Amino acid sequence: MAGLGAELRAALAIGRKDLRTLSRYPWSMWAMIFTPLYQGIIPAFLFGASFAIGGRSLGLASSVGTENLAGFVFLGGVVSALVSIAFWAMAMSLRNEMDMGTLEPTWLTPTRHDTLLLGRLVSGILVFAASQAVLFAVGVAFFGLRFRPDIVYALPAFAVSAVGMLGTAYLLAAAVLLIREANFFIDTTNFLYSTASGVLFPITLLPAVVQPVALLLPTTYATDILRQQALGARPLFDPPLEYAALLATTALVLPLGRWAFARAERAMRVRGTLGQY
Amino acid sequence: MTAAVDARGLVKEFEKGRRTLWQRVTRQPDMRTRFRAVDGIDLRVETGEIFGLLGPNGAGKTTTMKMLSTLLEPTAGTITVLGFDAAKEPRKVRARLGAMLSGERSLYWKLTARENLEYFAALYHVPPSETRARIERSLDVVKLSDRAEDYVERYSTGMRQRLALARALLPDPPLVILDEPTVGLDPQSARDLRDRVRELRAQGRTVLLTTHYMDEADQLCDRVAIIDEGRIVALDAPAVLKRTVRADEIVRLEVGVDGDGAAFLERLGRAGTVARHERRNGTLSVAVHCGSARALVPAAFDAASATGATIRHVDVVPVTLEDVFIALTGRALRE
Repeated sequence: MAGLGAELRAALAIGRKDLRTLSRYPWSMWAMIFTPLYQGIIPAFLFGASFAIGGRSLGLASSVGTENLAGFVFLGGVVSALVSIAFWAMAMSLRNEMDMGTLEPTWLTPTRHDTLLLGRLVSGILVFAASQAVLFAVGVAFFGLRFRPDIVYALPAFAVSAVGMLGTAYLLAAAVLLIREANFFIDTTNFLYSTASGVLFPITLLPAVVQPVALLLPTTYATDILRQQALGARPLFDPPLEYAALLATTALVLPLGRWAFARAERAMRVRGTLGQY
Repeated sequence: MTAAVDARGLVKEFEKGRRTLWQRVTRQPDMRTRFRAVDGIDLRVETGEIFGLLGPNGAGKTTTMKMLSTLLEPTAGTITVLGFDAAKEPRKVRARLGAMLSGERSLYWKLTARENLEYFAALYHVPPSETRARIERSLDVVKLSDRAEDYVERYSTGMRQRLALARALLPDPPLVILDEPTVGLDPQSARDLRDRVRELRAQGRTVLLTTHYMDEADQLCDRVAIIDEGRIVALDAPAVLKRTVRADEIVRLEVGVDGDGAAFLERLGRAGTVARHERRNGTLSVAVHCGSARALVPAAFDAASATGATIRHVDVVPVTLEDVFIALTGRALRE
């Protein structure tokens, strides 16, 4: 049986196939890069700026300890894009393959089913990198986006939360395989997950019943650490505690996601729903 | 010698009806029933043969194929494919299996044929050093080399079916399974695909296919299992199966009758075996098994004149697998 190298080649082939397909719909590719900017980040920035007093975001400063509205919103956009990879590029793409009728033949190959899901990360990361480059260029050029050099210290937290998002992608993929008509589900949960992670608002402003949910998400801590390092924002908890919580939630969600995905995959084999759409 | 496929006591049950989320949350009793799509199939496919599963739609052919290819988990029974237990070592089975289960929809229409095959070659773990040669060979086998750079969306249905077959050949599989490979194809494309299947056998591969076309099973298969309502009702070489119909010829009659035609059928039954009859719009269609049409046809005219019936059409045909199916189940394959 082929080993890790073969699985890696399969993952890269999935990425190449996704990018090739995407390149045949150039408008769709541009939309993927620019949509987060004009649908999420710019409106959020302008909304926040409209409440500024004398050009100062005093309300934001009171909530999170920084007046850097552009930094707050654009860094939220980074985490939001990371969340979108798990929701759309990975989990929802399984549904798209189901629609096209191509999920069954890929499932018939000896490639591990984990790889068939994780391979979608390849194109997701490349689109993420492109969209973030555009996002930051626009932010710096038009919205006065500035960070402290300390932002690099947040990269480990960001990397750990990316692993946590893999666990989330497994969970979502399991749900998509079971419920199949998943567009509404993915759209709604993506919004709720991003909001609960504090990408556009401080989580302290969320309703009290939602806040415990927010504290279960690795991205909540990654967002907070990112803003703390890059903007000097006030953290939710002491940094060591935030790192511990980030590691703990990631350690929880990854095996939970893999377990759920294996269960869903088994349920499909029992019910015979793999080829249905 | 190890059989290519050895399935024992294969059963697959599905739930009938649905149970909504609300019913689950409110813990309402589960009212779903279960039905058996496959009901105790024993199957042994020998290495190097073309083996056909022949049966009407809904007989359990595709369900069986999906279990053999590890896509479906059997409710009961065991499956061994090329010596590997399909339940315990599914990836080893898939690595040695070329499968074409869902035809033209199973391809990426926005990619070229070559790009499709490059993608699936990686998923089949074809070594990079062999990928190009395997793709060329697969395209050559299905006669698509000259259209390799075209988008699949520009292909005809027959070309897409052939490309799906080329994909199944990428892992150089000793066993190829094809589910209804010629459905939806025009006669020329279907003939062409059947030729490709024969070539697979000539290359030493085992082919397991399903079909509901009796001619296809007859012409192509070394052995055929006739499957109905999830059970194998007969299994042998097509010629042997046809000999089980105790007749050398089949006479098909269309007869104008008043009433139900019972008197005509009773008299006709003295000259041959009335295998099937169906009355529609005053015309009685009858299939009669007999030793010699030369003897039966005059007897049929005698029966018609004695009972006031009118014979409108006479057709004498050799025994087919459809007749075997009718003899075994009392129904036609198309029903």
